Amino acid sequence: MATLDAAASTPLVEVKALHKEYGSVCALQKLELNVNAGEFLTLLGPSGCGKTTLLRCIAGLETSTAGRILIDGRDVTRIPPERRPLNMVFQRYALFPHLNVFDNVAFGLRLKKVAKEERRGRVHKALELVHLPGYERRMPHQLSGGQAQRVALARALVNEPKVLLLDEPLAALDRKIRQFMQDELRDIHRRSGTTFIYVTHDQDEAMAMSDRIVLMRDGRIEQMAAPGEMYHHPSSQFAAGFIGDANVVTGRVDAGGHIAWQGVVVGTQPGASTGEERAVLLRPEALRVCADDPLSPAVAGEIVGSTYFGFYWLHHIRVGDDVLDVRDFRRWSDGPPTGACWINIDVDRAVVMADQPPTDRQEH
Amino acid sequence: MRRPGGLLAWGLIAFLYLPVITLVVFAFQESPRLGLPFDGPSLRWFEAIWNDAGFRRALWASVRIATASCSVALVVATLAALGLRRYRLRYGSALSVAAVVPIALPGLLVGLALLTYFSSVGMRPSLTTVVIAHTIYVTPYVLMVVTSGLEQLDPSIEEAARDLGASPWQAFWRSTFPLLWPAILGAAVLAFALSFDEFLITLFVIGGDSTLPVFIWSRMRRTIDPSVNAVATGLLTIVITGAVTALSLALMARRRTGVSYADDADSTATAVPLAPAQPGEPVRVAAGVLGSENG
Repeated sequence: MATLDAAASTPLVEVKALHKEYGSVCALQKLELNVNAGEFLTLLGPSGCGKTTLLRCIAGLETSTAGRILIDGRDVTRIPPERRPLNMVFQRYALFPHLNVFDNVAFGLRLKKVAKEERRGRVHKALELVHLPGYERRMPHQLSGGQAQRVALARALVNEPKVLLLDEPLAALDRKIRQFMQDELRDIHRRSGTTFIYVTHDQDEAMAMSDRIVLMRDGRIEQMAAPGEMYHHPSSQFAAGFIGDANVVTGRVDAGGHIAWQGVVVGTQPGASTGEERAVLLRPEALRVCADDPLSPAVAGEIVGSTYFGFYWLHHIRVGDDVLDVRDFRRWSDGPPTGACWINIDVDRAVVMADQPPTDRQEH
Repeated sequence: MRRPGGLLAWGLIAFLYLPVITLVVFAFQESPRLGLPFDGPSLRWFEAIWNDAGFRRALWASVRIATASCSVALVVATLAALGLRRYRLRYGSALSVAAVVPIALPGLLVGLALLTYFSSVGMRPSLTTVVIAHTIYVTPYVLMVVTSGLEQLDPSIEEAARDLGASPWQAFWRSTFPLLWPAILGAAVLAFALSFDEFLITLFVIGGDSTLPVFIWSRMRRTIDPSVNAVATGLLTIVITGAVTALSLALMARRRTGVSYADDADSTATAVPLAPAQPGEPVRVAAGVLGSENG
C-alpha cells in the first residue's frame, strides 16, 4: 500500500510551474504537482483539460513552454524521452507491427545492449507478470485488444522504469475486458511496486484504481485527493459533478448559522451572515423517494421523468426551482411512479460546497 | 449479353494502347520500311542498336543519371516528409504545397530557367547538369509518395520507440523504416522511371552527350527505320519491368506478417502453446487496428 504522507520522503516526480501553450491555446497553466514513489496516481478530467498534455510533458514527448520537471530530484526538463527513466503505455498499444511479441518486449533491452541470456529471462518474467507466458512468437495482429495492451505493459515494465505512464490504456477496449484489465493493472501495480501515473476521463476507473486522483480542468488542477475524500468532500461543484452523480441546491443561511433549503436544514455554516446563499451537495444516496408518510426531514416534490437502468430507476423530481436525480431500487411491475411524492433527506450526508452557488438553476 | 459499357471500355483501351502496340510490333520488322505489310519477325534491329556504341553510351548515361537523381531525391524528400510531419512548423502547410507545385511547371520553362541559371554560374551543360535538373524534377513526386506512406503509419509507434530508449535516428531505422520501405521503394522506382523517360528539360541542359530519350530523338531526325522502334521497345521494357517489380514488392509487403528480429536462440524451441483465452476475455475488440485471430 503506497504511503500518502508526502512529507516523509521526497516525491519521485515533481512538476513545478509547468506551463504549455499551443499558439493562443493554453493547455497547462503553471501546474504544480508531486507524485510519491509507489503510488497509483490518476490524472482525471474532461477532454481538453490538459491531462494527456501533462503526461506527455512528463514523458518528454512534448516540451513545455515554461516550468520544470524533476524525477528523483534530477531536472529532466531538457532531457529527451529516450534518456528519461520512464516508460509509457499508449492508448492504441503502439506495438511494432513488424516484430513478434518477444521482440516487442525486448526492444528496450536490445537498445540498452542487455546480454542475450539476461534479456531472455527478463522478457519471460515480464510476460509472466502480465499473464501471457508462451506468447513470444505471436505477431501483434494475432492478438486481441486485451492481449495487445498487456504486451504493451510488459514491453514498458521490462525496462524497470521508475515511473510507468499510462495514457488512457483501456479506452479502446470493450467493457468486460476493461473491467478485467482494471483488476490486472491494480494487481500488476501491487506486485511490481512501480509508480503509476494514469490518465483517464472515466471517473469510475479513477475511483476504482487510484491511490490519489488529480482532477483537472482547463489546464489547472481542480482538486487532488484520495478517491474517498474526493467523493465525500469535493472542493467544487465541478468536482462534485464530475465524480459520481450530484444534485446541487442553493440553501439560505438563517439566524442560527444553519443552511435551510425548502424548509429543511441541510447543513451549517458557522460565521456566515444571515441571508447568504450556500451551495449544498446532495448525492443520490442521501435521498430516498417515497409515496407518502416520509420520515422527517423530507421535502415534497413531483416526479417529472424516470429513466430505467436495469437494477434501478432514476427519477427526475422537481422540488421548487430544482430538479433532483434520485435513485429508486424498488421494482415496479406496472411502470414507475409519477406525480407527487416525498423525498427523504439524509442530512448527515449533505455536503456544503465551498464555491458560490450556481446563479442559474441546474436542470438535469 | 455484353453491356454497351463493356464495349466502350474495350474501345478506349484499344485507342490508348494501339499506338504503343504498333510501335512494339514494328520493332520486329524485317525490312527497313516502317509500314505495312509486316514482314518478320526479326531481331536484326535489336542486334543493330546493341552493336551501336552511341546507343550503349546513351543507355549507360541514362542509368547513371537516373540512379544519381533518384538517390539524392530519395534522401531529400524522405527527410522533408519526416520533418513536415513531425514538427508543427509555422509555415508547414505552405512549404508542403510549395514543394509540390513544380510538377505543374511546363518542362520548357524549367529547362530554359535551368539553362539560364547554369550559364550564369558558369556551369557548362553536361551530364552533371542533367543530374541536377532531374533531381529537381523528380523530388516533388518522391515527396508525395513518401508522405502518403507516412500518413498511414501510427505516429505513436515512433514515440513508443523513443520512449523505450531509441534516439531519433534509431527510432527511424527500427520502427519507422521497416514499415515505410514499401513507400520508399515505390517512390524510388517512380523517380527512376521518371528520370529515365525525361526528355524536354534534358534537351536544354545536356551538352554533347545523350540520354536514351535524346538518343532516340536525334536518331529519328536522321533515319526513320525500325531501329528507333527497337530502342523505344527496350525503353518500354525497362520501365514496365521496374514498375511491375515495385508494385509486386509493395503488395507483398502489405500482406506479409512481419520479419522477426529474434535470433534463433531467443525463439525458444518449445512449441508455442496457443494459450486458451484468459478468464474474463470472451470477445475481441472490434477496433480496426488489429485483424482477426487466425486459428
